Amino acid sequence: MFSRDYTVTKRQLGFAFVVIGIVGILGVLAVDILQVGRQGGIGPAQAFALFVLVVLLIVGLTLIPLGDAPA
Amino acid sequence: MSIIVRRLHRGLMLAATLALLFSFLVYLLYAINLIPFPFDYDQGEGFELRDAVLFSQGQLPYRDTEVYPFYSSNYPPLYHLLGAPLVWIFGPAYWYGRILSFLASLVSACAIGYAVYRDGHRHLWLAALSGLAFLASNFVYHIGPLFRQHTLMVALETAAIVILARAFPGRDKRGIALGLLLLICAGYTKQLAAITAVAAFAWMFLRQPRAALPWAAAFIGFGALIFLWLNLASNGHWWTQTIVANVNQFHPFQAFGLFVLWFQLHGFLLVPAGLLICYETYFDRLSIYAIWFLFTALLGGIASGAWGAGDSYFTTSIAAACILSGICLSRSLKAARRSPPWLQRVLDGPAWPILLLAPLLYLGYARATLKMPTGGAFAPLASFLRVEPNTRESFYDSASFDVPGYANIGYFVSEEDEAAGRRIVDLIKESEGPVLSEEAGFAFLANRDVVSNPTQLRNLYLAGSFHGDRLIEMIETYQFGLVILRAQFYPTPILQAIGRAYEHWQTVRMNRFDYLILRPKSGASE
Repeated sequence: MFSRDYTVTKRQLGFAFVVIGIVGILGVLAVDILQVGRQGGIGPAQAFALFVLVVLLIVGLTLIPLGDAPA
Repeated sequence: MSIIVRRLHRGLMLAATLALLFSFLVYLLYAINLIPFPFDYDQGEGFELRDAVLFSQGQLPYRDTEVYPFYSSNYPPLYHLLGAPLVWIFGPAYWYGRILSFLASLVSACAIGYAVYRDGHRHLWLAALSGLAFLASNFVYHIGPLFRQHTLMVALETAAIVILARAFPGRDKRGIALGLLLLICAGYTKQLAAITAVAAFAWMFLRQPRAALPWAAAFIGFGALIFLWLNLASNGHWWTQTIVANVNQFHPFQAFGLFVLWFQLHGFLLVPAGLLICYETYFDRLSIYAIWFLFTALLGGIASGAWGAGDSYFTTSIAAACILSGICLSRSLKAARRSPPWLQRVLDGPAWPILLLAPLLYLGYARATLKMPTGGAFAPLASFLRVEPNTRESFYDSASFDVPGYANIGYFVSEEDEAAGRRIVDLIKESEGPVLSEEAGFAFLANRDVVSNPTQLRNLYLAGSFHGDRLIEMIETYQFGLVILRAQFYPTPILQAIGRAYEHWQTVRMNRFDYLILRPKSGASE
């Protein structure tokens, strides 16, 4: 993997985005689950984070089919 | 391609150039007007000057705020170190710091133009428009000629990214070292440059992980050594004053409002920039400019919602957008010109949409970011453009002053403003003892100590790192000849102590802000 000319592929980048997206979304939602009783539900900062993470997830999913093309 | 389309293209390009040159003229006049002004124009300028003065005396500005003069800086040292030799030569003054910042903004514009020219098929005209577009941004305009370190940080970041864009893929070790050194300099100018450093290394890792890791290790090691030295030399105050005091309350609606404003003003460039990023994501390799833009727009934008932050936090992303949009348009023009001749004949040249769109985007951008005086010599033009003052008595800003976090500056200062400042200085000279002022400029001109840094004390107080017992004691025993308030940034206990011991004496209006002059309450000396 760590040859001198090795480069990250679009598929690998896609998988990385998917993992970050899923873990991030679960993490943002967990804030509400862990802080039981907090008023207001999902706040504006959480909503923004969820939006960014969902976009990241979608981009990741669309990158995976591009295979070994360099990212 | 018909001659008509070509002529129309040239005409529109000329119109876009004239529009952006007009914007630059306003920026230049604003700088010329502001540079000699001897007082704070933006709250905080005087404290940056104070830092430069301390460095010129061989002292660090990261200090214990519990003891007199209750002052500390919350910014890294590079910008103030550059100002220190000028303090030796000219004494404490605002003009050289403002010139330094203004020149830094021109360096950014030149770096942007060079990047577009080099990486966008050497289209000189679009390269020039890209550089001018950066200077035309409302966010760049009003912070550009201030005695603030932000503009220098952006210049160093932009230069670093433009160098790395070629040096890293070309394995040019000198170039990489220079780019990373500039990034270190940017980080030690202002902490926000950390976002650019993360973006640069993310891109380097995508390209060549094996080469990126040792460079990252060297970068972190070098940066950490400077950090540790500063912390040791300041007895730990570097950490408290530049890190702890900078973790401020986040206001999501401020960040959201600024994101919307950022898009409203710069949408004509953000759309082509976004298209190039989409193209690179799916059909080409991601460039350093794309990753730089994404990181700085997202993280810088979020950071803009912190208390004390603002629209300037988008400035780096605007530099990236100017490069990306310039490259996008110049490559599109090149591709359009390369289309097969038979297709060009059939469609009267498929290049015509992009030939017209490119200059129209810059024209639209020039209108979206328009800001100008509406009085004096500008009155006929303002009338022609149907522009009316919407921020101050004789100034128009397309951004208006309605969005929280958008700096309410950019208008020109007047002789009355300077006279008002000198009146405050005279009041200080007539008083006895030190003066507690929310701005440092008055104390410099009155040859008095610069006492406290109100926003820093506020931030430290909220972080639990400032109690202010000694300062409260000095206030309650009337040791300050005067107290000068503008925004009442001091921590609540300090303001309460001022309210108990001092009374309003008079109000002086400068730069359209009311400066409250307070003196010890009647009978205080008894």
